This record gives sequence, C-alpha cells and structure tokens, in this order.
Amino acid sequence: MPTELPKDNQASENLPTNYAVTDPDVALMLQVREGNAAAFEELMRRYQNRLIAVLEHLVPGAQQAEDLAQEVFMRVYRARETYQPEAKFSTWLFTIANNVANNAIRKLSNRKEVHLQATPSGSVSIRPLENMAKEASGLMPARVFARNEEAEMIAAAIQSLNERQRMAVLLSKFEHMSYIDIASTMGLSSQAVKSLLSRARSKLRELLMPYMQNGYSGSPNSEELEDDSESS
Amino acid sequence: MNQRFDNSIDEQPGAEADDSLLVAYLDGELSDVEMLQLEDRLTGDAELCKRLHGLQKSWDLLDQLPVKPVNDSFTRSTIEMIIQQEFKQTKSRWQLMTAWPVRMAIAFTLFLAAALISYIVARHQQLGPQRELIKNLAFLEKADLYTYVPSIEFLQKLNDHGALPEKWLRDAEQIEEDDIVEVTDNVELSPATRLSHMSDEQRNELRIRKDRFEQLSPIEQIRRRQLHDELLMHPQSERLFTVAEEFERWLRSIDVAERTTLLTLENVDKQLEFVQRIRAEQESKFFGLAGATALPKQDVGPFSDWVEEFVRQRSERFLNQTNPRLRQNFSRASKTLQPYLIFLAFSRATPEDQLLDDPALENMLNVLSLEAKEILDLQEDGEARRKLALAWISNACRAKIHPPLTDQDLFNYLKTLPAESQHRYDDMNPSQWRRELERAYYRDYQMN
Repeated sequence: MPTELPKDNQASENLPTNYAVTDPDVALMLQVREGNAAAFEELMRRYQNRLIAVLEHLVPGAQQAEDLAQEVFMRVYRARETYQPEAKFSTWLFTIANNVANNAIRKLSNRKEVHLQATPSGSVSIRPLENMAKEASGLMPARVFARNEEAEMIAAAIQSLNERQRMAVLLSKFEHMSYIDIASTMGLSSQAVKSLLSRARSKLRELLMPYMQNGYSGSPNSEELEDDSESS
Repeated sequence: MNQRFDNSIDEQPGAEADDSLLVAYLDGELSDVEMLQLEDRLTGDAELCKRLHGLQKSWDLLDQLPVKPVNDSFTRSTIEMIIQQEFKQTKSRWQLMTAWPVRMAIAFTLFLAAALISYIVARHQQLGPQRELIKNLAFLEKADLYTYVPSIEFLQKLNDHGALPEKWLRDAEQIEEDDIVEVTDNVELSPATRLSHMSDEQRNELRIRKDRFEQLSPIEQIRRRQLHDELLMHPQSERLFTVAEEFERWLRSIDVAERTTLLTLENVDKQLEFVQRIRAEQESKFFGLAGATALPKQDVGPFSDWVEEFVRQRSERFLNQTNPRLRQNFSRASKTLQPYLIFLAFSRATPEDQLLDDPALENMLNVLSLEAKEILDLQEDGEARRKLALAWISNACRAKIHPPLTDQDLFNYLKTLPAESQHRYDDMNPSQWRRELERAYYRDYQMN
C-alpha cells in the first residue's frame, strides 16, 4: 500500500504549530509560568476529572488515582518555570500522567501490593473478569447486570488489557487523541500505537461480545466468545 | 482525529491485519484512498463488516463507564499540598544553608554586605546634594550651548564653512616654531572628580544651570537632551562641541534683535547665510577699527576677496616649509580660516618684499579704488607703500580669524586700564560704552 498523506496535512507538517495560539490551555499554562496562580487553578478544574478518569483505570482504587492526579498537578506546577509550549497541553499533561502512573505501578508490583478488589469508596472497582464471570454464572441473579454491573464488566475488560494497551485505549477513547499524540504521550512510535490499539480493541471486542449479544456470556473464554460471535 | 496514519507498512497477516485496518478506519487514521479501498471491501465482505461492527460496538460500550466528578475539595487540597510542598522546599533549602560551613560563609558574606552598605550610605550622605549634579554633570556643563543651536546639521555647516572664528585663533597668529601650543588630549576625569575640582562659584553656576534647565518646558528639555546625546555619539563630536561653544560665544557678540531674527529663520541654510552676513559686517568693522590707516569703506569687500586668493596661494607654500608640529597646530583651524592664520604666523618672520613682491602689489592695486590708491601714493616711498599694503592685508587676515568681542572680553580689557580711564567709561550709556571700549581695544591691539 503506498504511503499517502493528505495534501493539507503535508503542508501543515512543514509549519511549526504555535500552540500558544491554537491551544487555550497552553495559553493558560504560559500564564502559570508568569506566576498567575488563578490560571493554574483553572487548568486544574479543566483537567482534574479527565485525569482521574484515566488514572482510575491504570491504578487500583479511586483514592490512589486522586493521589496520582495530585502528584501530576504538582509536577506540572513545579515545571512551570521551564515550561515550553512544544505540544498541546493535554499531550504534555498525560505524558506526565503516564510517567507517574508507570512509576506507581512499578512500585506496587515491587511491593506485591496490587489490590484488585473493589474499594469501599463505591467507585468503579477493578476486578478480574474471571471473577465477574463466575459471579454471573448463576451465583448472582439477573439484576447483577444492572447498570453498575455493566460498568464493572467493561472496567474489568479494560483491566484485562496490558498497561500500555490500556493507556493507549484510554487516551484514544476519553481524550480523543490521535495516534501521533498518543505516541508522543507514551514515548512510542505511531506504528506501535496503531498496533497497540488494534490488539486492544480486538481483545475488548472478544471480551465484550457475549455481553453485546445476550447481555451475558457464561464464559470469559475467548475461543468461546469467538465461536459465539461467529454463530450469531 | 484528523491525523491520517500510514498503513502501508502493515505486515500483520489475515484477520489481525484486517482488524488493524478496521481500527484505523474507525479512528479516522486512514487516508482517503485507503478509506475508499476498505469501504469497497466492506460492501462485498459480510464477515469483515461484522468484525467492524463488533469493534465499533465494543468501543461504544466504553461510554457506559461512569465518570464521577471529583469534588471541590480535591482542587483545594491539591493547591494546599502544592503550597506546603513549596514551603517545605524553601525551608529545606534554608536548612541546607544553615549547615555550619555554610553558616560561616553566610556570616562572612553578611559582614561584607554590611561593610558595603555602610560605605554606600556614607558616600550617599557625603555626596547627597551633589548627587544630581554628578549624575547630570556632562550635560549640565554643556546645557547652555544648546539654547540657540537648532540642530547638529547647523553646527556641521558652521564648521564646514568656517563661518565662525575660534577663540584660540586670536593668539595663534603669534605662534612660532619654538613657541608651539601643544595639542594635548584631555584626560577624561569622572564627573565626581571633576565636580570636586570645581570652585564653589563654579558649582553654584552648575546649580543655576540645572534650575534653569528644569524650568524649561518638557519638550525643550527633551530636545536639548537629545541634541546632547546625538553630539556625544557624533563621529566629529569634539569638533562640533567646539563649534557649539564658539557659536554660543559669538551669539553674545550680537544684539538681541539679531539673535531673535536668527532664531526665527526657518531653515539651516538661511540661518547659516544670516550668520555669514553678520560675520562679514563684524569683519568689516574690525577692519575699519583696527586698520592703521583705514582702507576706504567701499574697498573692504573687493580687497577681502583679493586677500583671500592672495593668502591661499602663499599659505600652501608656507605650510610646506613648516615642521610637522607647527603644521599640526595650524590644522586645528577650519580649512576656510587656515590660510589667514598661516599667513599671519609667517608674515612676522618673512621680509616684506618677499611677502608682497612688486607683481603682487601691482595686482592688488588693480582691485582698489582711486581713493585707496591715493592713500598709498601719499606714502613716502615704495617701501612705505608696501608696508601699508601689508598692514591692510594683515588686518584683513586678523578680521577673519579674530572672534568678535563679547561684553566679557571688554570687561576684562577694561580691568587692564588705569582707574581714571575706567571711571570715564562708567559714565557712558551701554552702546556708547561698548563702541568706545571696542575702539580702544583695537587701537591698543594694533599698537601691540
């Protein structure tokens, strides 16, 4: 397949993007650099929900996600004096978030302290899909597929992805980032992002297919999921 | 998601490759051509279509995930945490600084700083009232020069035309090879040192100038400041400052009406023309007053023109005979005035018949009126005629290079007179006082 880029994109690639003009959040960050504390608070308000929503799927527990979000904002603030508008603000912020989350995950795995059970806070818990499937196989009544359970199933499906796939999916789905921006955020090539997303979405399809068809599948086995999908 | 993605290097086989293509399609990362190709395939491939829908539906399911907004306490607590962190860092930096070797260094630095501050405070108190004078000394010393100077261009023209004689030229005609006024470079002293070398009277004069300047309109203050700055930056800075000083001196030799007229002239050329006209009148006056046997008035103009040509022809020859040091001294004069200065300097050491030989004398007679020729004919002999002719030439030269007399010059001259004569001038009205003193001054000058 020949390499082909649309002409407008080719032209725009030759011109450096002035992010301070095109991205209002970059303009805000530049004000933070100049010592405007109100601008930092505004940036926090704009991004805190989005950031925590992503982090909640990367580390166990809503509280830890909030702690990491605070760490991310603190790093943003600490870096204010040397900040250069070389990318969209969201790309920069999620690059920091990716690093912070990776560090946290590494520490957790070193300490063998990974808790995958639901937290008492009531937020979306991350539970192995197998457990959920077991619960759904008869131990739980039909109402388990009420809205919360649906969310748990989807969260569990996301949780079943590896860390990099998960991050790529979250940035693509919730931050609507392009492959290039995801690549920049995660420090990967665009080709690697494409591959990550392709495998991640195929896996999500496999895991969620029974639910999409029947509202419930008795088995999380991917082969069976595939069979089911083919038979339908 | 407008960014298209290069799928040409996709090496994944079969279904996996198709999924990769379908995902890129759903994400809007395919080029137009790739998109059309895939859509062609989708219309004829139900299995591929099913896979696409599966991908899309599973992707859409992610929207069911709840997003729980964080409460305001998160923002507040994060900001408080950042403030605390900043405070801790500042504190830890301070603690690091208070380790004992650092403490010693800080104490030493503080001691030095205290000593420096004490010195600065003491100096501030010492210089207090003079601070403003020191700061503006370079400007204040020259501030009055700019009152009547319209522009640098005007000074440049005065210089180029040699329109004004300079004070030093009055004495320069006396220069001999063994009595050369050395041209030395002034050592640039700091404003504070210059001020400390000044007398109380001079300092007071500076303060008066400063007050006078501050009473000017802001626009005029800016104009004079700019002129000063431009002059400082000018390649001929030193020369033009001298011209400005001579111009200021010269203005004091003309009356108020003439000064006012000069100020109202609209452009530099007219101002220069005016200066040259007044200057010609002054030369003529000098010529009339200083001449031993006055040349008839109608002869002054033509005779001056003749002298100009006469001295120019000789000055070059004279100049070639001088040593470099003397030549350097002559070179300080403007090109216009230089020949007159050189002629006067050489005339005292050169036999009269060589200065003005017979052909030159005949040539001179051609421009003179009958009345002037008669005056010459009244002389006893040829030698006396030549002497008188040379006196006229010398006076014409002096008229060119002598600056006009200011009131201050006349006051200084008055002080040299016997007390009895001084009293006589005290009884005169101002214009008579000036006229009579000028006459006496030139008479004495001629005698000396």
